[in-house]
Amino acid sequence: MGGNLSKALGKLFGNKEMRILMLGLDAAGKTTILYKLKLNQSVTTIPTVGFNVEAVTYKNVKFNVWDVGGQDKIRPLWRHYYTGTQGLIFVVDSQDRDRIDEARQELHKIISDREMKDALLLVFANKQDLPGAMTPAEVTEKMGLARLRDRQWYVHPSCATTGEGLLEGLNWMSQNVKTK
Amino acid sequence: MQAESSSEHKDTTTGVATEPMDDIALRVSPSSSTTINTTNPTIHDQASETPNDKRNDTLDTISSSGTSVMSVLSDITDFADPYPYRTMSRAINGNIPPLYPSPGSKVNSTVIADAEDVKAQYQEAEGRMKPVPEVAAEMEKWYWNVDRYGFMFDEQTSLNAPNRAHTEREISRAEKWQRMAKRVRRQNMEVFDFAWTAKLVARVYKGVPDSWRREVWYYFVTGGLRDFDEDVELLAKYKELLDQSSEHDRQIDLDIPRTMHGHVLFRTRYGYGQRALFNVLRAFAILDPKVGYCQGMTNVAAMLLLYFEEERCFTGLMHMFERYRLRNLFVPGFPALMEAFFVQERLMEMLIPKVAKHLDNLMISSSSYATRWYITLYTGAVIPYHLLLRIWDLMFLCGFDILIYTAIALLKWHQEFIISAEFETIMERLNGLLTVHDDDKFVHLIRKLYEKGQSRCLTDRLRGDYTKSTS
Repeated sequence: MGGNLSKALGKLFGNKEMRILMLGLDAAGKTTILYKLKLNQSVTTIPTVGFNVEAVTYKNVKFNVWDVGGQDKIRPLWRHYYTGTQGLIFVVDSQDRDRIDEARQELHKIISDREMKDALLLVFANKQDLPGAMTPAEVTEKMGLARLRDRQWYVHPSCATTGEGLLEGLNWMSQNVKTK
Repeated sequence: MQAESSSEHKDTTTGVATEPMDDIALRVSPSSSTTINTTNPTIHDQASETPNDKRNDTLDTISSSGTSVMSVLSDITDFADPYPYRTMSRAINGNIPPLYPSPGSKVNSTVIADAEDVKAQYQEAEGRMKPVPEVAAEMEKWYWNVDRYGFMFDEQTSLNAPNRAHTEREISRAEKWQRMAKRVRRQNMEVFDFAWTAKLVARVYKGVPDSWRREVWYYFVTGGLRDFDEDVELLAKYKELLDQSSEHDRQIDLDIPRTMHGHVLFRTRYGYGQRALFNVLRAFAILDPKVGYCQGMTNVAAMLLLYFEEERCFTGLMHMFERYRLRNLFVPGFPALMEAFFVQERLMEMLIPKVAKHLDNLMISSSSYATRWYITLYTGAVIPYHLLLRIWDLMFLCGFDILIYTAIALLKWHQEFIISAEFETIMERLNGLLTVHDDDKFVHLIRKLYEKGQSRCLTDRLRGDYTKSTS
């Protein structure tokens, strides 16, 4: 009941809620992004087996962010988190050229899924601070984004440890989310 | 083109579908109710608000220049199937050929020299699986053709398709579970802890949200995390066992391609799902030689693998066997199965006497239809998958007994049919897939029966009777 009331009030004052799923290969920086957004701190993370979930409020939008582990053995479990996802954040380690093709395959599997057909796609070209990092345009090309049909997508450079680029990404999400 | 775009635009790229490929787009994605097909004004509006003014140029470079369209086109053509329906019907018939036939393929052959060979096939496949770009497009087709649980489309899919109300309920429940869960560190691993309260129990009966099942099932299967401390040792053991061979390798290998073949995780011969299943079952067989390997176990392990990663599937299976005394279900002689038949039939006499009497008159005993129900813990195509998940939620909460009450509830649900039907039709129904049109109502029925039984200590008393009758 209380939840319904606050939801109604939220609608009145223009508050939005958004369910975000954050995926990507292991060690791409997902958990670091989550806690940078939540605590504005760069935390030392351990590999996520299972998931972390936190609510992050930015510009009147409450983002409920699910950060799910990216190790190959966990990836088959990603689908359990698809339901109701309005925005997918796919985090790419821009320095990891060896695995960019693996990242592309995983991304395309996710967005091929019917449960994800309406989700906005934000790709963070993360770890921009590292030498030899791929540019966003390079990530765009290598991730095969140009061939996506019927999908709003956006690639943004980021550096999770300093927080650069993260809020811009969320901003794009909040401005493009379909309000129910 | 690549160099050009990256030198010009270092910052941000955005994109939507562009017109030139609309006809292809239609073929690629069967979804007809698409909205963002034409150049999307919101993107452009939004683009001008952001500091990076170059974005529109980037858009040009990335999606409208001649070269990139061509390369996109060639990308698309190997992705698009000109006969999407053919793909669909292939999927329905389950005839999609294995993606990774091994060299000199022995996929359909049962002639395999010895157990070492069997193990080698799985291990070799592991190294072979990584860089397979040409397979990606095929995989995407698969993923478009699965329902929300990962099963390839077939006539059952409509039953698994949730509606909007269902989705919203699922989301709001996931948030409730989120508030109820506490993250804790145990043995250098992170797990979610819950307070085992009436509220928790009530929420399990309502159905655990899919996004929480991994955590919640594990919480219950470890007795509220009490047994979790054993995991370090179990995992070390598991690593050792992977290198050993078991005498059951060949039998396990025969069953794996036939297990949950409709699920995208298990479709690929020697793919991740099949390898994990093989590893878990053989490790278990070596560790518990008295149980070894028994056919229903493949389904049980496969079901766990849909929610747990390989290692947790193994520890989870060990905990399950311990906590719910499943060993006795699978050891030679199947003592727990015999006991379940006995208890079920006595419960039928008390709770659904009309059905009991009619089946008794036709001499249909529980062993003639319920073997598959118990030995696969209902995973052997007994009930639709979405209902199976609810039953497993209850099993983790209440233990094995709930499966006996599930049997009673199934018979009660189909009571009208049963008492007016003859031998063949009854056998056909009870040995096929039993549908239930309202999962919530059905779970409520199980709970009512279970609580009635528990309040009178029925199951325990009947177990005692069974022990007396056999000794």
